[in-house]
Amino acid sequence: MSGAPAFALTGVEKRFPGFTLGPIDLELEPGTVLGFVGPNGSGKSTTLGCIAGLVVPEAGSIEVFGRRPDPREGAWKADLGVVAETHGFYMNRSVEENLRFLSRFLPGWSQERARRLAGRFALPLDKQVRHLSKGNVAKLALVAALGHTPRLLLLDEPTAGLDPVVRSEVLDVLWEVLEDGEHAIFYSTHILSDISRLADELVFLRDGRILLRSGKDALTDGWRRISFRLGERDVAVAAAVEYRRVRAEHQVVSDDGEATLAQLRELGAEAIEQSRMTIDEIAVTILKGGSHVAVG
Amino acid sequence: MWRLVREGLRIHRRVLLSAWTTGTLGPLSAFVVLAHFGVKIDGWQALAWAAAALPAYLLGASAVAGWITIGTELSEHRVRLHALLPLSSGDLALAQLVLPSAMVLIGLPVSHAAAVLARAMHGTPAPWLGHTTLNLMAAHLLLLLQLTLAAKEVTALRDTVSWKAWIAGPATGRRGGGSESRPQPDGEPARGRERDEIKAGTVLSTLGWFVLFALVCAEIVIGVPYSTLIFPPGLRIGVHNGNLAVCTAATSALAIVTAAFTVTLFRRRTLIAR
Repeated sequence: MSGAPAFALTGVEKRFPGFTLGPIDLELEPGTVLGFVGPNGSGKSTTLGCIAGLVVPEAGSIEVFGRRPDPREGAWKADLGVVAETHGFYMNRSVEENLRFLSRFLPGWSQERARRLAGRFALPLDKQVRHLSKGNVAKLALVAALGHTPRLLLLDEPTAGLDPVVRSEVLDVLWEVLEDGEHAIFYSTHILSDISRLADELVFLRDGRILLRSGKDALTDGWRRISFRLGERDVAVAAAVEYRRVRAEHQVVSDDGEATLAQLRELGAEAIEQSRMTIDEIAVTILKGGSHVAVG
Repeated sequence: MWRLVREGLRIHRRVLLSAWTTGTLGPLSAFVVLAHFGVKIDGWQALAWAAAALPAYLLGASAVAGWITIGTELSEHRVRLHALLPLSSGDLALAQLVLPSAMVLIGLPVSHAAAVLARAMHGTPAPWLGHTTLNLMAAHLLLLLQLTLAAKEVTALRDTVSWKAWIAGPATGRRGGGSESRPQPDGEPARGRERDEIKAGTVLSTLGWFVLFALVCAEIVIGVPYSTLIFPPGLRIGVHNGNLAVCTAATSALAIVTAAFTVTLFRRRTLIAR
């Protein structure tokens, strides 16, 4: 269905003993990459599982390319390529045999494309899966997810265990997948260097709740670390996410640097210094939930 | 579903062949040693007795291959791979049940053929291993395989299934229960709800074990004495009054009920835990 989002989650909730995910409202447009960032146990895999049909949510609605995924029929899964934490490959069979197994079920599978990708990742086709290193299993999972050129890629920590060279190759391949503008990637990770290269938007998740959804460029443009001197008392700084003061030396992390700077100039702050923050620093601040520290 | 079973059989066929080889050569070797010392069993030469019992070994070995398959599929998280294929949840559940059962079903005609061979060699069949007994043994082994799979699903109930999702059925693709399903504010009410979920999961799981226990009891009443050969031939225990065909039909029916129970559990199951 053209024009429909790659997926749309509305009010999705899932409860496990000791953990509740959601309610989650999230949409992904074709041709875009959404980075899903959160600490371990924040619900990233569960969210991905809900979209892939691996997790049955208690409430909410899910649509994949405009269709409601009905577990009674599985055709809708042909549009998905999934790299999950657990893979389920036949361990006593070779890489090639595992790929051939998938080829018998996935419409549009190209064994030639799978072989080419395996070649790019230097993945040995004749080796049994149980003899593969962790990194090679991750590569196999990627080839398995990409072999049928799915319209939606759901990637859960896809580069975990890969060396920097292969990681770069994986990101190149994902770039190529996006070239036609019809494919979408949902990329869950805490390796932010990967995501900062690929993602158009970032969603931050903590304790099963979405904290923030923002364009990557808006984050790097808006967020600043600003230090200034202004009396030995706390100041209510506009857009401050994190605030520290040691006597008259103040330091803030602001999610709207320009607004903060304008306010500080009005207040007569001295020795104002600002610096841009990396995506990693911004993510850590968001996921920590900010802080307020004052000494002296 | 059949494609998945066919692929599974292709991949696991070595397990079946190994089980047949080990399950027949092992006992035969032991009986060759016994025959060497002139040992007799029930008045039969040890080797003749072993040859007569060969069909049972083949059937047993097929069931062992079925259990190995269940274990392998479980330990390698196969359902996670299969769940990503464009197949319905019903097909996935059935394929899980049919694959190990197919091992026994393939073993059954082979064991019948062995029984015919044994009869041709010895002139008379072993009194306790006629074709009807083999059928009953196969039904019984199928039931045991189904009980194993059902036990696996019941175990999963407690850990990965929220009772609301389980009772309501798959919520994917439709609105949940309105305001009742909305999250409550953090704090005591939420913790209370969480405790309820855990308790309800335990209750569901316990109920599942009771169902399995009832199925095992039913099987003991119906068929154990004649299908396991634990009890001496001719002992009358059970409702079938010694009619092996009735016993086979009843045991098969129990296997089907167990399989239906497993499919119901699987279709409402969350395949990954947090």
